[in-house]
Amino acid sequence: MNPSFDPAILVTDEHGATLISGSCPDCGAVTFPQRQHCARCGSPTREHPLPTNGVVRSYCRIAIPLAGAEAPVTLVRVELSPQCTVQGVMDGVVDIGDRVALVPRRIDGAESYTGFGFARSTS
Amino acid sequence: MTAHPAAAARRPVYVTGVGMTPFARTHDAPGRELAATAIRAALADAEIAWPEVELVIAGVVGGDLAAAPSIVHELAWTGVPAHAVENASATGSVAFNDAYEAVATGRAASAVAVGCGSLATALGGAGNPATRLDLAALSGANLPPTTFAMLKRQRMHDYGESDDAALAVVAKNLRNASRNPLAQRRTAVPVADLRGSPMFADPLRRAECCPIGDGAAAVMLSARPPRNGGPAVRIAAAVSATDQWHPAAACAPDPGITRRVADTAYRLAGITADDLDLVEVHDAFSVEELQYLEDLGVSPPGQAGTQVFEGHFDIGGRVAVSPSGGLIGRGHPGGATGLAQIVELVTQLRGAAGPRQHTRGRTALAHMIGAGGSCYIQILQCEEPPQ
Repeated sequence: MNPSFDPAILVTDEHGATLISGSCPDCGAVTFPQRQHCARCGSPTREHPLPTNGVVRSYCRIAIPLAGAEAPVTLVRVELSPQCTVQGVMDGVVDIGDRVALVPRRIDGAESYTGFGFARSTS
Repeated sequence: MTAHPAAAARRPVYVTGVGMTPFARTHDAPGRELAATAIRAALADAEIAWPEVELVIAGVVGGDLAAAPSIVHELAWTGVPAHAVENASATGSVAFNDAYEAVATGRAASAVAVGCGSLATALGGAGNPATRLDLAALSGANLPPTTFAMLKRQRMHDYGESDDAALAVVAKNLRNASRNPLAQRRTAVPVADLRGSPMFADPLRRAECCPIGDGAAAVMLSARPPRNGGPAVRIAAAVSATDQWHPAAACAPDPGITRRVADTAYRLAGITADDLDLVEVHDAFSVEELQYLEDLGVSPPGQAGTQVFEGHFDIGGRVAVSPSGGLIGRGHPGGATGLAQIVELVTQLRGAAGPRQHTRGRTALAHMIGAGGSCYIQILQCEEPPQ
């Protein structure tokens, strides 16, 4: 797998890809990407891998390409946990309420990287 | 409801003059000249002379260094203190709120809030989204239409709101703008025709996105009621806040910010949403107007889409929303937008809006969102309603 586009945000290994957030040991808030200090209470955060499956809360389709994605691009907003919702490119059709899984996405350019997106969950 | 004690600690502040240039896709004149034109119009409206102005606060987007003195230099060099402020789309609103605070707390007896500069200039360096390799670009979160396309889809799912509800906002605002000689888009378009507009971020069509243009607006604030014989328009609240943590902060604006700022504004003014006659909201994208009307308490949750069809928000309806045409119709330069809202509301409260005059006018609210997480609300009250 190509290197992550940002190892502080996305960790990749032979098992797949994981998004890294920051969890607050004091108030429980999750910030993505991780910040040194909690966005809710200001306490120092701990590195916290996010779940790799979630539920689609909304989606849209845009007519312009993004890095690693040809137009038209479907974007999904995915609740990975009650504390964290993220957004990314969706492979295939989708609807609100669908379960989806985080997947690595190849980004080719002058150099190649690995980004992330979502696909329908098989679990 | 009575006014909040914090309001009593400030002296009354009045809007005594307003002025603005036409909003257009581009202007040949630079922003500082447009700003000076707007200031001259506000001074003439207030019937006061430029040397009487004790403070200038300029909301400028995409400007050069020393933007505020350069505006002053287009007028007589009176030595008036002047500085610039910026807060994305809400830049003009910041200028207004700061000028209000200065007059309310006695720092100045009179102040001009002026806004100029185009977001087109400021957004020009965003880079190619197909080659950017940061989180916002990879997830599409850097593209504002995607945020509001997601909101529209969510409302359609959660409330069963029709696609046409957001189009009805556009049709209403273009209809209002067609009666506003200073608006950027001046052609009314019915919902049936808007359905043919190409998708920009499905389900959001191109026609549902405001135009970014250019223009300037100015508002004269004073501790004394106006001398021009017109009704006195008093500022009952001018408040703001930045966003708070929420679970979707990586990809969406704070969904609670408008509600929180509105609650503070209503408390300061001693009113409720039911008292509002006129509202200008941040309708950069059609569905925003529906959401913000609910957040402001003007409409119950999930019902703004139905109520826009029923004419609640038309000029002459229960509460006139975006009578100027809003960002969608009047336009959204950036620096001047929040002040253009004040220009419209004051014109309405004076009963001077001509063919777009709302039937009632005692209490009005302006609302703007600044990207990156801020919200501004002003409440204006007419002490002498038009006959």
